[in-house]
Amino acid sequence: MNRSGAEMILTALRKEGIDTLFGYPGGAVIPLFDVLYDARDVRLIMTRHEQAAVHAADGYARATGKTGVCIVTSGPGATNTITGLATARMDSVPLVLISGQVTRSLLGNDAFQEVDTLGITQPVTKHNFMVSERRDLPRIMKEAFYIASSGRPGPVVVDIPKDVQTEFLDDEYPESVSIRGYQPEPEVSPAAVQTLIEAVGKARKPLFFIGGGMVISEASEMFLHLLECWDVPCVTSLMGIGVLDSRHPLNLGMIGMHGSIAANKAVSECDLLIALGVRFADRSTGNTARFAPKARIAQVDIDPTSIGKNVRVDIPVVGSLRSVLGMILEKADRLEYNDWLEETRRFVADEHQLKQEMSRKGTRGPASESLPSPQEILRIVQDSFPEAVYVTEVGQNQMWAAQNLRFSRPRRWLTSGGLGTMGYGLPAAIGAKAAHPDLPTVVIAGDGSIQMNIQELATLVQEQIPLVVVILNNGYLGMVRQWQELFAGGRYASTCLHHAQGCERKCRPGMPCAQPGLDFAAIARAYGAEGFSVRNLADLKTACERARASNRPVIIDCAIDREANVWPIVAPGKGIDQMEYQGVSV
Amino acid sequence: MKYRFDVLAANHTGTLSRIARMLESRNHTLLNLQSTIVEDDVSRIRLVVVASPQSAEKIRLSLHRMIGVIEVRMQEALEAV
Repeated sequence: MNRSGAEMILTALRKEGIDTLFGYPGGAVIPLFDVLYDARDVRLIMTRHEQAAVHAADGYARATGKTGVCIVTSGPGATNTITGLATARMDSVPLVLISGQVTRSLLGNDAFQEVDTLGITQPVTKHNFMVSERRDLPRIMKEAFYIASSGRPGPVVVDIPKDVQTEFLDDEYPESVSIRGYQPEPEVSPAAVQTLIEAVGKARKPLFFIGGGMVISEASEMFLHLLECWDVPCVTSLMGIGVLDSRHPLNLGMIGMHGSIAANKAVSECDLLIALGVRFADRSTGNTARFAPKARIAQVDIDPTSIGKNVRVDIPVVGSLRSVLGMILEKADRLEYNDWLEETRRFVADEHQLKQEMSRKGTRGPASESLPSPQEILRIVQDSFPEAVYVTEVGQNQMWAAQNLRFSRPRRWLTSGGLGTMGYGLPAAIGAKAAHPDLPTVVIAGDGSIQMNIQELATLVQEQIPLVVVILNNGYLGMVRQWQELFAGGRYASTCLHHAQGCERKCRPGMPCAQPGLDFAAIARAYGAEGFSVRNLADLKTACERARASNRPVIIDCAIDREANVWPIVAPGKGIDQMEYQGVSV
Repeated sequence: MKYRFDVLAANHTGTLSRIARMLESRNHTLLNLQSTIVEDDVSRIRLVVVASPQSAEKIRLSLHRMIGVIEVRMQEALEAV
């Protein structure tokens, strides 16, 4: 069929089953947006910033497992996507970004809105292409979708000059794809799996460490079957939350810098750590010299470069989790570790008791006004929205959410793990809600991070996407302030978000502040959304009820103690066995 | 130690810069870099890099993972060729 490059792109999207796109128009993609104008079967959500378009496609992908797609123009359109691409790259999210490029005859001329998109996006993508010939377009589109979603997924950029979009050619979209040398699913070594099974059989204190790879490979159900055979306790990474029900008796919680005390203790005490789809990020391991000192470590990962990258690995298994778990399940006998389970249950009970004692003592003298704690706020929010997709920003809000929200299935917890991108939450939630219109979607934000992409309230209102945004508002960039308090002599350098008129901006711990902060409820109303400011739990409950009934986006701005900290914490350079809780070593 | 990598890769825009960038991101410099066309659309790229055995293995795996790379061979290089 004779068609333009732009029509071929639309054909590719349809053939790949894409019905939702995120994007922002511009000079170099006018031909592409023009064909989308008439495409009733493809919904295009226009964000207010290209970064947000990528995060939205990312949220869509994480919530569904499908490939997210976005379209941006050349030059600044492309450069604005870098943070979004890097976020998706770090967390292995399948994305295809189509960027317009200047006409081929102008390439390299410093043309208007020209930038070397291929060069700039290389380090933040799994792969990228420039389509320099119209005849290559269908093959490249097919390869882009294949690469993005296969093996360890990741973002792929396809840079398409404007005159390639307008050039006509009689061709078809290919049905199949093959890329020489690309082996997305490596063959699993049966011997390696056997070694792993034998190690579990010999271990007295085995422990599963589950991560985002379990979500990506849709292996959670197989894993639950395995837990029916092997009574082995589990810890998770930040990205592994949701694989195993938070209330499952074998789930000890998240490990790492702000992990649960029980989970970190279990890692320190286990004699075999079986890592499934994790990359042992530094926020998870703390000082690697003190990580799992009594254990042999087995690691299963689809990406051989992830194995043994950060910690020594005794039993490496390269392969997809579905294949490996399938092979294990065929041979798995019933294994019980009652003494070890008893010990881990004690870790959990001890942690619970410690937290109760600490909360009786209080963190720091009587507050001037008793504001609800982040923990209480999150409990009420989750009671109001029990079956929801929760999307977080980055910082204290993210860690409180990770510690306190409860999940019973994967893909309901979306957070920027590896890159730690402030400004991720609100746009990613747009993508999640577009994917699951029937599920309530709640953003847990801080008053700092929400402002990094707050313009997306306009997208929500225009597209009539009802979301609930809960801002834990302490008037600080809270996580940085916490580090300044604990590790930088209490000098709160440039972390206060309040007005500074007549203020020397030399904030210190405990210093009273009469300066006003932002009125987020008014901002919400200005965009055409609903806004509530709450200072107590009764008002929060009312606001949540109103939000549930509303068909508009809602911001609930919750004032919290300005200097509330995230506990426990593993100080930088310390091992995860050296935790502090409210300033006390535990 | 010096390591030599012989990489067979698709001769596409960006392949060489992708390899160079990967080395840059790991803070390695190149002692030698050669690229020759060996068959239609396929180049043989030879790299010589100073690295510890662990880093060399990471480089090998990263090269292997790169899309467009068909084959990677690594050996200790007695002298920079």
